[in-house]
Amino acid sequence: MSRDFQLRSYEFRRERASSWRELESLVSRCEKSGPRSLSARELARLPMLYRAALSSLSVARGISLDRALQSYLESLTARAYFVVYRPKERAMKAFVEFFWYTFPQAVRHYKRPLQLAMAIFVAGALTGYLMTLHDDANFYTFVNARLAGDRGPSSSVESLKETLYSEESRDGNLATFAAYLFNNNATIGLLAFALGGLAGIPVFLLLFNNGLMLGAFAAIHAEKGLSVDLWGWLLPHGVTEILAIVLCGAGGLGIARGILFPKDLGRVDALKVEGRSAGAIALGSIALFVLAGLLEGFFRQMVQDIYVRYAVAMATAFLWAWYFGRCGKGRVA
Amino acid sequence: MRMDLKQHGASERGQSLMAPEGVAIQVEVATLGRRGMAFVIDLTCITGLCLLLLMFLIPLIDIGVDVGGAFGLVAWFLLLNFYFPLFEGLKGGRTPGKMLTKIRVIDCSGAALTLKAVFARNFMRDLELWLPLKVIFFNSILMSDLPGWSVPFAILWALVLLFFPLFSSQRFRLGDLVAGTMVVDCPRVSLLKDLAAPLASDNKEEESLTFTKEQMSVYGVYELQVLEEILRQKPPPKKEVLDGVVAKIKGKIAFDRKTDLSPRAFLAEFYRAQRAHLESEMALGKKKLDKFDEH
Repeated sequence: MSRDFQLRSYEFRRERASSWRELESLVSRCEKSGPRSLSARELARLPMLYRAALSSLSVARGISLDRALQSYLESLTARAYFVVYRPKERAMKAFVEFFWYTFPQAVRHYKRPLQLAMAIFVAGALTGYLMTLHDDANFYTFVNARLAGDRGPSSSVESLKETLYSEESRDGNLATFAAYLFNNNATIGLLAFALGGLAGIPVFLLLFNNGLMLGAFAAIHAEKGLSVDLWGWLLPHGVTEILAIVLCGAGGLGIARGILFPKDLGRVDALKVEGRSAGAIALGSIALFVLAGLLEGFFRQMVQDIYVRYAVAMATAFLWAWYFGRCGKGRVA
Repeated sequence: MRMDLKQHGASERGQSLMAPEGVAIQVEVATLGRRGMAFVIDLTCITGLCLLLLMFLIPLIDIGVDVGGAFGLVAWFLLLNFYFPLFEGLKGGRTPGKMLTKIRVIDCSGAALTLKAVFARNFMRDLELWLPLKVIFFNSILMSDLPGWSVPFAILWALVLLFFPLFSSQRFRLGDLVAGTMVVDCPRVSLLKDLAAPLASDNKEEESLTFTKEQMSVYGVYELQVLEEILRQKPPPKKEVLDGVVAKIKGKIAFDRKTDLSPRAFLAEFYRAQRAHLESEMALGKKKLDKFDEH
């Protein structure tokens, strides 16, 4: 074997190394400061260089025993792959697309879990209502005393009425109150979503429990003939808030559906399909919670007129009916 | 089998993605240690951002600590829930912590990562991390209404959730399963010098080694790449170690000629010759995996 003999893999590497290095520098810049840091010419070269590197990799696997070369090419092509096939989403466009198409479509896809979640919530509310009417003592079984504040079965008509029409929120500042409400509700909502990962049973409990509380509250007001006032106080934000909780619950149930009934997909794939839609629903619900928090924190304290309260409640109900029923229809996202 | 894995730079953590061009791209599943480290870095960033925001908010509006606290809570909620998905969605699966630890989130199928997927995987964190931690550390408060025997069950449940990634070789956390994603290493490997490159001293009249065909047929690919590793070791191995390797090789291939070459130069020569031999065999479709392989 003579000295002038050159290895094929050595020649192979010598001929192509400069194009690999060019690709490497483009990829590094892309990773660091985004594809917009590349010039038009560089952007056009990127996929070409990527394909060349990919074919180098498959040749190298066949002819070269140089470990260093192989791991270099493996790493380079993987990095380039993620740059070339990066998602094309731009933040603003993605935002609009999401709320116009993805979110309402995901909700429509979740009709069955949504109906189920709604049914559980309503069942909870009815149970809470009837049981509290039957025996006042049940109120404290369903409602955390701390949450109820000074309202309870023994409160007088006047004190209940005063809470419903008070101009002062308990926590003083309206903005603070709205912030607390949002935080509280959104945390419960996300929990309802995530609990779907435990195959759904806890979602049932959470929804039912929230229903119980609502029902118990309704019962103590109904006993004192304050139903109309209570719903006027509750519904303007409640429509949005309850919907958001139920939506999150439906998301959780959807995940459970993927785990328990994968149908003809494998369990892993079914879960993935369900999980992504459910994630979109949970994300959209956070926006609903923001709106509900604002309505609850500001509107409820500032508007005392019962007709206006009911008008707003109706308006939000129609808005959501249109949004989830019609918005973004007829386009595959 | 062992060799084929080594050959493609993969290990037991290896996963392959099929690129649309028809070539399998190898990635390695990130270790939990790295992911944990990335998470701690990100959490530090979130806390820092939150404090910064508060420092600006409080003096800006004359609102007092109460309101500041409320906005802090909301800011904390939004940051905690949106920091991860926004970075992962817009920065190619990498949060600052992941960039520093050189890992990234990818779609299991190799398709582009969607925003939907990153939100889904991050919204599960509540269940996978915060809830189990609360159950483990604050169960006396959380579960005060429940009977005592339920506490150990709840803790067991929490531990299963916390250690969920250990149950799969891809280290899926629940959020990964729900979103169909996986976290992989994205190391930056630089192109090392080719050990088979002609030496600078090539044209000087130095002793040139030749090996017979029999001598070249002793070792296989595995031994060649072990030798490559030895030659590339940094810092270079001690002279005694190299002497030992040389002696071993000489014994094995029955090389009895005298040479004046230093052990390192001998090994470099041997590496070159051996690689040339094995590669040309490979071109003919004969691949000797290791010294036990009777090809």
